[in-house]
Amino acid sequence: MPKADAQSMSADELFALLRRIMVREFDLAEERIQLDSDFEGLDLDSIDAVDLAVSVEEEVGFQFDTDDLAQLVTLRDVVELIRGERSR
Amino acid sequence: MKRVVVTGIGGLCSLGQDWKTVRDALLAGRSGVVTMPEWDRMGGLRTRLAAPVPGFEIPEDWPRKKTRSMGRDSAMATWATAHAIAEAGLTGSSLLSDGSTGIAFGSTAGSPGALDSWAEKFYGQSSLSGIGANEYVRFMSHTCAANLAQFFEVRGRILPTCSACTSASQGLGYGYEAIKHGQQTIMLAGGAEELGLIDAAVFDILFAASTRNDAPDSTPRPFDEDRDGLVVSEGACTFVLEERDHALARGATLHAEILGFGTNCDGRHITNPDQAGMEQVMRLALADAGLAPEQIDYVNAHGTATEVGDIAESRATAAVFGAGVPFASLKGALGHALGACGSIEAWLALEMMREDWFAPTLHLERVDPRCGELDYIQGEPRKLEATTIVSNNFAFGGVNTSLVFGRAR
Repeated sequence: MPKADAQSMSADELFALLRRIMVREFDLAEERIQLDSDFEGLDLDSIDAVDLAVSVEEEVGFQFDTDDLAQLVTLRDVVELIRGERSR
Repeated sequence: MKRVVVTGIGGLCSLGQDWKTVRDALLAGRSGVVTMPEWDRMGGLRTRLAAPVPGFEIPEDWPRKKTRSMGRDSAMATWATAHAIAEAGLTGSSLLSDGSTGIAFGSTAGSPGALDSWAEKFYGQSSLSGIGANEYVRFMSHTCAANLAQFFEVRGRILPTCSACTSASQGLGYGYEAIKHGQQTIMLAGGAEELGLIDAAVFDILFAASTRNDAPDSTPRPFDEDRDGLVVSEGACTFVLEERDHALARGATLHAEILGFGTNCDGRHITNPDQAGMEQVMRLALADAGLAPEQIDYVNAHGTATEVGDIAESRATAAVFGAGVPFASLKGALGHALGACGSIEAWLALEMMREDWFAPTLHLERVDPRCGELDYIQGEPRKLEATTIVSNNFAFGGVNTSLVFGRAR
């Protein structure tokens, strides 16, 4: 079971969650991870995107669609997608 | 045909991560076998013995993108290969990436740790939830070869030699053949194995694992009449094999030469060894080397300490080489490193040849009278000036290998 519900989380809480996952999974320094950081700039690739999606699903139950991952460029895109602020 | 020499070796096993440490342990008669109380959780498992590699961790300075796809087996393979490449003077060399270098490397399967993790979710929970992108590549059959290729940016041929206990020796043999026939100039060759409960269980089910659980310092006992089976182990060992003229031209140190290789299959029984197939593979290797049996100074045995294996192997060896050939197994000290044993044992045999001594078969006290008549090295290390040695390995499926090594000339 997910530890939290994505629908009830604020944008700031979701960003903090993504940051925590990315520090843990990708050995990134926390200060490098900003809301407008793009994944390519953080040297993350398609395999990392899948692992990020797996962790997000485990933590807050949000399931990414196949098409989602290719369209996500920055952390802000992920936050907006989870909050339903982007069309899928 | 090209001549094939060894220009670098790196390895780690239950007795150490460098020759000096392993040498001291062999000379002192120490073994890497310990008890595994954490295996108490597995119902029906009788053995509690294994020989893990102590203290191995993935180096912190390895890039995350190159380690994320590695299980412990691939990580040990990479560690061993990095050391072999360094000894060969090829660290950072363009030769690794210009297509002239290939890889022949195996393990019995992929990482058992990664397989456990996958199976727990996939089968245990009937869910893909929580399965990451890297889990499969850690346990796919050619994970070691694939990880070596991406880590060292190797662009030549990849020969995954995943044939259980002959994975590493086939790696050496197929690596040798790739150079001999002019297909590659350099081959990174060998094998790796990650210790997992599944390895012990496989042999336990077949009543082939030692259960002297209260006496880890007395087992396994290859060729001994009181043996009761093997002890699983782990490790990795990589040889840098190189075309001899190429190695000489770049001023490399030649550690040894592979003079011959034979591999065949019994084609009879899926697990039981066959003396005839074993004999034949040794004759194939000698023929490839152009040597007569009496020119071999020492035979490094597979010698796992299973009843049928020990008897068949020793009789086959005696039939080919006669009763006078010095003969020993390192598995009494190391345990059985399965997919890594072939290259680990060849490495240690070459080091011993270089120092003019050979270790005894640890725990061998009274040779099983059903075993073949041979000059078993027992008790004390043997002073022996050898120039040409053989290393044999045999696997489930009736797969046999025999390698002939000589001092570099």
